[in-house]
Order: sequence, then structure tokens, then C-alpha cells
Amino acid sequence: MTNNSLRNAFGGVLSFFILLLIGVLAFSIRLFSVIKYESVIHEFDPYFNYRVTQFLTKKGIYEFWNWFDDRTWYPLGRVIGGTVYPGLTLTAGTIWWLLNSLNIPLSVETVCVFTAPIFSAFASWATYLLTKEVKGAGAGLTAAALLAMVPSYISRSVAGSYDNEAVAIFALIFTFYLYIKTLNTGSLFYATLNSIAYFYMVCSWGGYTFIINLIPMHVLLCIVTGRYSSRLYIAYAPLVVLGTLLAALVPVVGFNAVMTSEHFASFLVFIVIHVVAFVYYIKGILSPKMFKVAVTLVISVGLVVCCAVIAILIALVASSPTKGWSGRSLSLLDPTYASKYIPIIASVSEHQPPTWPSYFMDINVLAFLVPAGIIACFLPLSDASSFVVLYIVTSVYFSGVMVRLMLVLAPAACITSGIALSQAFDVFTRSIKYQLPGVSSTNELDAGETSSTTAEAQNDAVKTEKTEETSKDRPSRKSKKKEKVQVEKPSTKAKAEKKRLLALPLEASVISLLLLIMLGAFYVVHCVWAAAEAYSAPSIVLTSHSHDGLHVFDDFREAYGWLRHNTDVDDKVASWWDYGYQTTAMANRTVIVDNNTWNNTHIATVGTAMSSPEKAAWEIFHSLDVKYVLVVFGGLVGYPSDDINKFLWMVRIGGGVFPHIKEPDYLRDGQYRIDSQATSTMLNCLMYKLSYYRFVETDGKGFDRVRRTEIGKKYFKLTHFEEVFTTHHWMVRIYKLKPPKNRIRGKTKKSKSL
Amino acid sequence: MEEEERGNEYLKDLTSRVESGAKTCKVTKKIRHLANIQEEYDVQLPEDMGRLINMHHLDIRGTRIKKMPAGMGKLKDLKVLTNFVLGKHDGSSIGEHDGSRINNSVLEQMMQPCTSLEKLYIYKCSELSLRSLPEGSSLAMTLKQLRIEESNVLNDSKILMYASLESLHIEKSRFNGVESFPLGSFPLLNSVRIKSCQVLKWIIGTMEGEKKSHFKHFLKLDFVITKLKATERESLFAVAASTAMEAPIRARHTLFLSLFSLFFFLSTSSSLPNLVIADAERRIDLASHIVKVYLTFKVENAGSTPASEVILAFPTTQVDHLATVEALATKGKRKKTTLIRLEVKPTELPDAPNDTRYFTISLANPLNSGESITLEVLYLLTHSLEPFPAEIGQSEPQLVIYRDSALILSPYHVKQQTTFLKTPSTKVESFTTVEPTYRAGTEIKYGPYEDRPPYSSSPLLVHFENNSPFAVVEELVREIEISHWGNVQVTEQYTLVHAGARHKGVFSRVDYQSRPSFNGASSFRYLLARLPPRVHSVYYRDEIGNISSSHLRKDSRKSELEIEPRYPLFGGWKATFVIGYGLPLQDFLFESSGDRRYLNFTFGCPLLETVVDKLTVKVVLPEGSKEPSAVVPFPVEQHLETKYSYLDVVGRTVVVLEKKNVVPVHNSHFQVYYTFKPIFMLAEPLMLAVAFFLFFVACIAYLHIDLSIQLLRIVSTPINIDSDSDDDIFLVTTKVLWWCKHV
Repeated sequence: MTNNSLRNAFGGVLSFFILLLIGVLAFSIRLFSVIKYESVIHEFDPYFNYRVTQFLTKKGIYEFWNWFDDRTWYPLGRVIGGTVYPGLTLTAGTIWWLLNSLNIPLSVETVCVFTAPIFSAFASWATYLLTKEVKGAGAGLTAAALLAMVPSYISRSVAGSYDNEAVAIFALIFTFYLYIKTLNTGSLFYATLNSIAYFYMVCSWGGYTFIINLIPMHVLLCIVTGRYSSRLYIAYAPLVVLGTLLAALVPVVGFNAVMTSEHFASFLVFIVIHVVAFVYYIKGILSPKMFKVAVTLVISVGLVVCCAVIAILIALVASSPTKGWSGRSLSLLDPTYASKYIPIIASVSEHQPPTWPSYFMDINVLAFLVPAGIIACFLPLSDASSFVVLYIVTSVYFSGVMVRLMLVLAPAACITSGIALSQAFDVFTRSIKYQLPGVSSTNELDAGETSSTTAEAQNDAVKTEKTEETSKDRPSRKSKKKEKVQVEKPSTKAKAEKKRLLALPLEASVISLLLLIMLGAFYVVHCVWAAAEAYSAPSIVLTSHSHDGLHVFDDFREAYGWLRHNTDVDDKVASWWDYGYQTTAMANRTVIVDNNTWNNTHIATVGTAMSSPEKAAWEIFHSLDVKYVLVVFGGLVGYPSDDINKFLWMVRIGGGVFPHIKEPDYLRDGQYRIDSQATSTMLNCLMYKLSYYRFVETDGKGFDRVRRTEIGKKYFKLTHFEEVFTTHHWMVRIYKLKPPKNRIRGKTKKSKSL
Repeated sequence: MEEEERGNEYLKDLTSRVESGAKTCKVTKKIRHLANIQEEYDVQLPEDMGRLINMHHLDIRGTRIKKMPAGMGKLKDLKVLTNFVLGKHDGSSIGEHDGSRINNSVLEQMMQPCTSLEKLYIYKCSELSLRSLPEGSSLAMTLKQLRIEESNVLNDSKILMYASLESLHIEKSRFNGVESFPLGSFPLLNSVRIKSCQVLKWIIGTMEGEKKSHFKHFLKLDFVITKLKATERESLFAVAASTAMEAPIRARHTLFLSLFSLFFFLSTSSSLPNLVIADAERRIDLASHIVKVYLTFKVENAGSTPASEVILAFPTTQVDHLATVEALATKGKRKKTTLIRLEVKPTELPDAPNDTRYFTISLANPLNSGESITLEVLYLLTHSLEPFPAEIGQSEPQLVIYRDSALILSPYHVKQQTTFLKTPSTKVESFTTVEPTYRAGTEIKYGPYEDRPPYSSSPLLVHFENNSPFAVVEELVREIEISHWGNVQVTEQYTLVHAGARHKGVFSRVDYQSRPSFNGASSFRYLLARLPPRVHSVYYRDEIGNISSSHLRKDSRKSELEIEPRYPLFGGWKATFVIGYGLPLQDFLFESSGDRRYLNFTFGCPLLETVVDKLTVKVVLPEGSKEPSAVVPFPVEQHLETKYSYLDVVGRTVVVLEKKNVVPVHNSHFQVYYTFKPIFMLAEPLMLAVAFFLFFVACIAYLHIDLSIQLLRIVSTPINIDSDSDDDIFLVTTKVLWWCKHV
């Protein structure tokens, strides 16, 4: 007895330290970007979040809610407070405020850079909790360790990647954990916590709709498979009511929480679960005969009501232009939707369906372990494990639609793989222990229980307790432990019998164990490589290794720094929307469009200007009060994601709104080319001219290293624009609109006389 | 080399012949250079030295030559003669040459024909006193270097004849003769070194003991090691010359007075005395964007009242751009010929014309009527070169205009004045001609102008090309944070601007990269910052991240940080950045007394050749330091602030020093004194330790307290387990109570 409690205590301490180390691992593996590059905010969206956080820390929370940003989407502006998911900003702002009130003078930037690694440590702990609820502590630790370094998640949460996903994945997993916890305990306390966690998730990321659809699906699944219980009701009903109310508090969601079709599933299931609960209640108080009568009555009335409701719903949905579904959600359901109808969504690479290599890159060996995990979840199938199965299945589908949602798949894959690995280890080590000579059967009984099996037993114990206990009062920690121990004894004995039968041959187990360890090692090596090489680049600083050492391409910041210091503070800068966030954050200049992409027409205007000839473009820009035009050009150094490569999207988006821009005009026989074979429309459009202006003078031929061809039109002059700045490697070129020409009197007279 | 070797060989040859008694020897007349004779040649110079008529250079230092050969006198071309040694029996030899034994010395004899002697070293002529220094008519024109060591010279009055003397070096020698040392006789002298001369009647030395009133005996002149700069030379000798005319006693008296007043009384000024500037020379250096003006002038007191102040006048336009004014006076008519820094402060004059501001130079000693003094004034002007045209394209050179007056603005009558302007290149577009005006190369000379009344001026405008980087730091905040754990952290925030002609229109990278010298000649890419040695953890970044283009070079004396802003700076372009670095504490922090410490740090901007419009130096003292006080060698604005940094409770005292218009001259050291008890260093670690301790205590307490409502269940379980040994009711109850208490 004492031996066992000591073992439990030791296991507890051990798992605590393992968790601590997992947290450290999750944090430190994400610091490659800081070590290899610098402590800087990465990419595009993080710059916007950083700017919002700066505003929050400077002006305070009330100013933040009321912030109307006039430095973007000129001349429309943008209501930041009402259109931004505030979770990340508020989190970082709170951390910053806390540190500063302790007189630790960290800059906002530092806090923002390290928010994502900190929250990935939290996320791995939440994974531990979730998996522990499903399959015990061993599986929990394995899953946490896997999640701490899963490349898919690292790609979104390296130090500096200050994006919503950084905190949202933690919130997602934690919400699921609390849901499972409530489902297992039936505690209203956890149900309340669950709604709060859901609220945090709503604050953080638009991906909350995944939760509010997945949980109802699971509830429905439980009901259909006859697993309805009062615990299920407690887990679900408060979440819908409280969660929806809380979600409506977030300005960006507001009445969407009850108005849009993404949320309707939860309400439907809410009704269903009440009906079911009512049925169960009625069943309890009525005799079987009366119950049958009642059923027929209810069904006939219910059908009528349902038809009416469905009719109303259909009418409502049909009345809205997008059928009540936002574009992104529709593209989830119909993967071909976006590329058909919304080029602006299709133009983002992370909205494309992933390829098979990207699965291998992002979740690596987990892809092979997931099926095993699913099987493990069915042995035996509980409420919790059925949730995991549902989670993995749906997330696999969604990740197949959009590469960005691979992020949602990653935790599910980690959980199932963790379960699979843990179970496999369990089986193999038990077989080895059983077959090792010199171990007495009683010792073996104890020794056979690895920490995971005890935890599993614990879990079972809790469940048995649940079924036995009718009183729902929360047992204190101590008494619980004691009870567990008591309950454990008979069940483990019974199990031991079973386990003996499951024993595998010694050699097979050893070899399998070694193979599993090798698999794990391969995973670790891959993850570290991915963290260090693939995902650590901040994308605003580029480096290249050549024979004469490291080359740093810091052109973006060079250009933004130039704009910041050498243009007037109210000047408007036009660029393709990719660079909008960076321009406002780094150059502090007003932009026309940015990465928020809320106004398709506005973006189409800029796209049209870029695809128009110089004079027309000048007129469009002039009407928008633009003073500078910024283009990104990679032709000199071979930077592939430049504006010329994105140009077709500009044409498409522009053509979507302004029909005089036609995509075929820019293609020669369906091919996009900029060499001498290119169409004259292409060679005369603004983007071509701004990119290649005086480019031929660098090498005499005008060889574009990205397109690997000589450019089509080499010598030309700009009439309405003048070059004001080009960065060191020509990656960013900034042009100024020439002032409108003075009206010449003679000319007007002439035209009059004519 | 070849000649030297040949000389040595010849000498060896000669010596052997002399010893062997050979009477005739063939001497080639072509040896010109005899030097570096090794010590082991215990030789006598051959008697027939006189045949080496082409000899230029005779360097016999280190040899043990006892006596100079008599035929020396025939070496007409001799230019350098070292170690002239007077032999014991030279008296007789003198007699041989000349009848008058007393008046003429062998030296003189010998030197008579040397028409081109430039260097003369006299060495160890003590046993038989040298009657006098050689008196050759040509020597007065040619002798440049005179060195007398361990010799007695009976009559040195002839030294006054050596008007061409540039360097005078007297050591361990005894002099008799003239009583005053008229330095004014040597207009070219630029190095005087007098050392360990026991009785030296003709230089007034420091007073012996307390007998201040007696100045008859002067001894122990163990001083004057002055290397005068070429620019300062004239003033020094002007003073000397002016006083040389007077009677020796009077001169001594004045000099004593001046010495006295230097130490004992502050000059009290009266109203504007009748001063006259006898001669003024102004050199304006326009090479960089900081205009350096060296003004040398001789002031005479033409009035009757003694003057203790000299007033400098500046037009208002210049005063606003005036970064620093320094005045120097040469002390040393008969004593130390050092330069003395004089106090300069701005003043107001009641009846001043418009647009004129004044600075007062307080003289160390009042200038009595009839006396004169030469002052050196150096002042720096910033933002005084006006780009014209104000906007230039990428390929155009930067032309600037400098405005001044051809005549020196002065409240005094100026008898004679000259102004030299030095431009960075020969490319001068135009310049005002105020006759007489000459231009030669990069120099434009205005003057000399004679007899100009007070406040006369004549506008002067020079339009020339100046492509030097006009790097101006609009605002610089230097934060120096002292940590007694061994580090001084410096953070410098710059707002840099190119203050030259504004860039206009197109910036073409193609042109800039392909023809860098022609395109953007006035732009600059690099700046050099000179940091202290042993600098570590240097960073260079701006508000959007690290700037990857910088190089750090370190050696034991200094560290150089070459920084490159994100983009080349053309006229009017701005850049902001931060440089931070750590320094070892022991290099900069010193103990003064008890708990009193002081930081010794440089004040100005570490970037070379930059102007700082507004400099704020913040010295963050460690938490718990008291009584801060700053000692800065020039006027600055001071105030105190409090800063909260890592885990501070009471905050750190910050000494804030502010100064406008800072130039590299201000890059001198300043000190901040404060009291700090080392025990305060432990405050923060202790605080952390306590916080963690409390946290763990709270954790333990939480784990041992059961907050759940049903106490009964807890109590019942342990009893069941533990009570199997005894059934005593009392024991059980006590156990229950104990459990309730402790769990």
C-alpha cells in the first residue's frame, strides 16, 4: 500500500518535471529565429498585431475599443476595435503591463516576440491535460512532448510570429480539455470554465467556429450512439448559452454569434439535446405505455414545428447573398468555391489545399501514427475518446481544404499519436517485463504498471466512481486518492490476468520498441531541422549563403525605414495589399489597402491601377491621393515572391470588379511571360514598368533571375512617375507620382478652336 | 649608406696610419657624410680633416674623441656637427692660430669658414670654459639647431646673433653673461628645452624659497619642455619681443607681477580701456561642415588704465552657431613659455551697435598701459555653410556659401589684419574681392588691411564646393547606466540628418551603384564611432529591428564601430538609430573617499566629425545612491530624474545633463560623483529570494489546507487506516483534532 502511494507520489513528481521540461522544450525550440536572426516581428499579419498592441499599451483599453484607424484603407479607414480579434493583443498587453508594473522594463516588441513561444508551452500542457482525460497520464505526456515540437505548430509560433494562432491553439486545446473534463466529471464548475475558455478562444481567432461546430457534432454523435447522460447535458448546454453570450461581447463577433449560419449547428443541437433530455425525463416518470403514446404525439407535433423552423431558416439563409456563410467558411465546405468566386481568398497561398509533401513536412511521422491512435481510441470507446476520433477526422478534412488549417490538425494528430505511442509502449514494455526471468508474479503485478497504466486505472477509477456515485459532490484531493487506491486493487488484479494473455514474444517487443524509439528520434530530428531551417526565417530579412559568406538582404526594412524618415507623415503609399500591414507598422505611412482585405473593390482598384498603362494608373492613384507607389521586385537577386509573380492575381482581382481588365490580355497563349513574347498590354502595364525601370542598365541585358529570362521591353521612360528610392538589392522600389502638369493655355484654346 | 661605410673604412684606415706614424695619407675629398661611427673606434680625428672639404655631416656622437682636429676650420660645407669637444690643450692650439688667446675660442676659429652649418652640438666643454660661442657672420643665417650639453660658456651673448635658430637645447651647462633672455631675437624658434642648468643668469626662473622680493639669484631651471605648435609660435615670440626692449629689471618686475597675479588675484575689470589690436591674423578652415577659426592677435594697451579684459565681438548671426570659444595666452616672457587657457564668457555691452554680441576674455594679469599681449582664439561655427543651390540633384556636387566679414569685427582699433580662408578643394565658384585679395590653391588671403576703426566690417562671401559629409545629429540621448555588478551600459539614441544641400528629384540606384564618386558625391554611407576600449555586447538597431551593416574593430586602446545607416544619406534625408554597448565598470568608476565614488566618462558624441544640435546625457546611478553631483568642464543644464528599471522599488537617480550645439571639441571627460553603499547591491537578489520563498510557502500551505466543505469524510478515512493499532477513544479524538489542525 505505502509502496504504491510512494510510487504514485514519485510518478506525480516525475510527470511534473517532465511537463516542465516539455514546456522548456516547447519554448526553446522556437527561439531559433531569435538566435539565427534577431528578436524581430515576422511576416505580415504579426506587424499589424504588433501595431495594435503598441496602440493598446500607449493609449489604454478604452481608446483601443474605439480606435478608428485612418492610416489604412485610405480614404475609407478601418474600425480596428470592432474588426480585430482582440485576444492576442490583450494577452500581450496584459503581460507587458504586468511586467512593467513590476518595474521590468521590457519593450512591447520583446513581449510580442516571445508571446508565441510562451503560449506553445501552455498549449503543450493543455495537450497533456486533454490527453490525460482521454487515455491517461502516459499518453498525455507523450502527446504533450509531440505537440511541443510538431513542425506545423512551430511554423505558426516561432519567436516573433506574433499572430492570433499563437494563443488560439492553446485556447482551442484548453477548451477541448475543459469540455472533456466536464464530460467526465459532470461538474458545473468545469462547464463554466469551459465557456470562459471558449470566450478566450472567440477573442483570439476566427477559428472558434471550429469549436462551436465540433462540440455539437460530438454531442449529436453521443446522442445518436445512445450515450446521452446528464454529464453530456452539463457539458453542452452551459457552453452554448454562456459561450454565445460571451462571444457576443466580442465586438468583431457581436450578433454574428446568433446570426450567421456557422453558429446554427450549435443551436440546432441545443434544441435536440433538450428534446432528448425531455424525452429521457418523460421516460422516467411515465409508464412504458404512456410513453409510447407521448412519443407519437410529440413526433407528429415536432415534425410540423421542425418543418416550419427549417422553412424559416432556409428563407433567412437564402435571402443573404452569400447564403449566410462567409467566403472562407464556404470554401471550407466546397474547396473549389473560393477559386471560382473569390480570387482574393484564392490568391493567398495559405488558403490553397496542401500537397502530400506538406503533410510530411508539417506532421511528419505523426501521419503514420494517427490511424493507430484512432484504433487505440476505440479500445475501449468512451465519450472522451470518441471526441478525439471526431476531432481528428474533421480536422483532417479541413486541413485537406486549406493549408493553413493544418494547424488545427496538428494537436489532434499529436493527441492520437500520443495515445498510439503510449499504448504501444505499454504493450511492449509489459510483454518484456512479463517475460523477463527472475521477476516474481506479485512484483510483476506492481512493476507492470507503468505510470501510464496507473493513470489509466485512475481514469477508470474515476469513471467507476462516477457510475457508482450518485452524489455529484466534488471529493477532496486526498480522499479521492485513497478511494482510487481502494478501487484500483480489484480492477488491476483483473487486468493483470488480461495482460498476461496479451503478452507478445520478447524479441518482437524489443525490436518493436527499438523501432518506435527510432521513429521518435527521426521525428525529433525532423522537428529540430524544421524549427531551425524551414520556419525560423522572419521573411523580412532574407539571407543567402554563397561561396563568399553570408549575404543579408535587409531591403524591406531599408525601404520602410526610408519611407518613415524621408517622406511626409501624411503621405499615402500604394502597394499591393501584402505589404499594407508592414508599411503602416514599419514605415508609419498611410496605405490604400492592407492584409485585412475587407474591401474587395478597393483592392481591385489598386490591382487595376497596377495592371493599367502608366497614364491610367496615374489617374487612379491620383484620385486616391497617392503620393508614392511601392513595388517589390526580385529580378536582380532572384527573390521569387515578388510583385511580378503575384501580378496575375492583381489582374484577376482587378478584372473581377473592373471588367476592362481582362486576364487573357496579359497572357500569350495562356502563358504568363515577361520576355519579348509577352503581350503589349503586359509590357506596358504599370507593374512591368515600375519593376523593370532602368533594370537593363545593371547588366546590359536585363536578365531576370526569377523568371530566368531576358525582359521583353528594355529601354523605356516613365512619364508620370519618378524613381525616388530603390533599395540596395533592388528588392523594393519606390516611385513618386509626378505632380499634375500645368494646364497650358494655348492647348486649351486650340482644342476650343478645334 | 655606401658613403657611410666608406667613411668608416676611411677612418679606420686613417687611424691605423696615424698610429703607425705614416705622415702622408691620401684622402678622398668626396666624403660628405661621416656618421654612426661605432664606439669601439677609439680614434682621433685626423689632423688633416681639413682636406675633406665636401664634408656635410659629421656625427661623432658615441666616439671617444678627445679633441677636435685643428683643420676643422676648412670644412666649409659642414652642415651638421655633433659633439664638439674641447680638448685640454686647445689653449695652445688657439695660440697657434691666433694671437689673442682670451677673446677668441677655438670653436669660433673653426667655425668661421663654415658657411652652411645648420646643427651644432657642443658637448662636455666644461673643464676648460668655452669663452664664447662661435661668432660667424654666416652662422647667424644658417644655424638652426644648437645643443649645448655639460659645458661652461663664459660669454653667451653671441647666442643672440643666431637669428635663424629653430631649436635650442641647453642641458647641464653653466652660463654667464647676459641677464635677459630675449626670445624675441629668435623669430623661428619653435622648440626650447632647458634642463638642469645650475646657474643661469639670463633666464628668470622660479623663486627660491620664500624670498619673493629677491630675484637676483636664479637657479635650478629644471623645466621648459615645450614643443610649440607652428600656429602658436608667433604669439609666443611676439610677447617675448615686445618685452625684450625693456630694461631687465623692469621686465623681471613685470613678469614677477604677472606670475603673482596669476596665482593670487582675480582681475577686476573697469570700463572699456583704450586697447588697440596691433596685429591680427585669422585663419578660417572651411574643409568640413564645422568651420574652424583661429584668430591670433596682439593687443596693446594704448590707454593709461590697466586692462584686465579683452572683448571679442561677434555678429548675432554667428553667435547662434557658435559652438565653442577658447582663448589662449602665451605665458613666458622669461619663464615658462606655456600656453595658458583664459576664461571666456559672454557679456553685454551697454553702447554696443546692433547685431553684435560679445565675449570677454579675462586676462590672467592686467595689461598695463603700453604693454601688449598676444592672444590666440579658437572658435568653431556650426551650420554656417549655407548650401547654394539649396537643392541639388543626385549627380551634382554640393556647393556652399560661407559668409563672414573680411575685416575682423572688433570693438578696438585694428592696426593690421589678415584673413586666410582655406577651402576643401580648389573648386571655388566665386569669392568676394576686398583688395588686396589673393587666391593660391586652396587658400584665399584677404589683407593685410591697415588701420581699421572699431566695428568696421566688409562683407565677405565665398562660394565653393564642399562634399564632406554634413552629418548632423539633431538629437542625441546618451544613457549611461551604472551597475555595481561590474558593467556600465551605454545606450545612445541618434536622430541623424544630412544637413547639406537637399536632395532633389530622382534617386537612381543604378547611377549610385555604377558611378559612386560622380553620383551622390555629397552623400555618405558610413559613419565612424570611436568607442572606449574593452567594449562588449555592441548593438546597432532602430525601431524596426537590427541594422545588419556595421563593423566593429577592437584593439587595446580604442574600439571603432563603423556604422552604415539603412540607406545612404543624401541631403535632407534622415535616419534614426540606437547604438548600445557595455563597458567594464573598473575602467570608468573610481572611488573618491569612503562611499563616495565617481564616474569618469566622455561627454560628447562618439561619432567623428559630427555636430550634435541637442545632446542629453543621462547618467543612471544605481538604486540607493545619494548626493549626486556632476562636474563638467563647460556650462551645461543639469537636473535630476528618477528611473525605474529592473525590480526597482525606490527608483534610480538619473543625472541629466543637456547641452546644445555640441562639436567634437566637447568630447572631453566629465565626472559624476555620488555616494553608494555596496549593501544596496544585494537588495534586489534578496527581494527575489524572499518572493520565491513566499511563493513556495504559499504552495506548501495550499497543499496542506483542505478547502472542501465535507470535513467528515477526510477525518473518517485516516481513522480507519490508522486506528487498527489501538481502540482508545481518547487517542482517536486527539488524532482527529490533530488531523483537522494540520491537514
